[in-house]
Amino acid sequence: MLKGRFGDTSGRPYLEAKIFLPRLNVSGDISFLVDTGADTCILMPSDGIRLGIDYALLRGNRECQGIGCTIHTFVEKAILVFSDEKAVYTYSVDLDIHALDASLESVPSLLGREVLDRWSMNYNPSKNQLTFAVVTSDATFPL
Amino acid sequence: MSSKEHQILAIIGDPQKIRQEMLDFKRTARTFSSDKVHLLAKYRKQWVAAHDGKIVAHAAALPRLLQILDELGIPRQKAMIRYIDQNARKLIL
Repeated sequence: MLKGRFGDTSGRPYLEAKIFLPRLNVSGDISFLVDTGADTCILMPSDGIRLGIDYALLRGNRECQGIGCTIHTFVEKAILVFSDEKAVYTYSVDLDIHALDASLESVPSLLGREVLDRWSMNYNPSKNQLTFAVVTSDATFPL
Repeated sequence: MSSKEHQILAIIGDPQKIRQEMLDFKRTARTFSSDKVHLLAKYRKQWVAAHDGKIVAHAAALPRLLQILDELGIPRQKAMIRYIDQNARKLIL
């Protein structure tokens, strides 16, 4: 069972993951905002900068529709890793990477349905419970 | 083990090491979930970094905070960073 948290000063749901971007030789830890309204996962500027991504090396151009506007993102092959006491679970995704934008620095990276659709979720803020049961993964490594 | 699993393992490395690193990061992340009043009182409208389960730096701007982490020798990839503000922008994503 993966365990998330209700975080920061906002009460938003978060889940920690490890991310690998093989082509860029970049990896690191991320606290994703759990977003069932997002079709895909997106890496926002504050995490991209922190992880040391060289934005000049990014490629791809995908349109993402949000409230108010359409944004264009870079797209990068990534492996997202989650773990509980039993196993390490991995997911290969086409990660959207938002272009650098100082006005969005405080917006967290999003964990979208391309991963969430493969779990079942218990979301109960009043009891401080946010857990995920893994239904499928691309690869599972027992501990 | 399948060839796909071998490929993934070659990228992510030892699962036991991954698990331990993730436990460490979860502990760091919970720094931002367990002490709301303290964080707001002390770091309102500041960028704050946590590492190894505790707050390690704060600054008014993100670039300065990352610079401080570098000066402290704390790997950015293992730190967690958040902007602390009670009235942060509402997000509709």
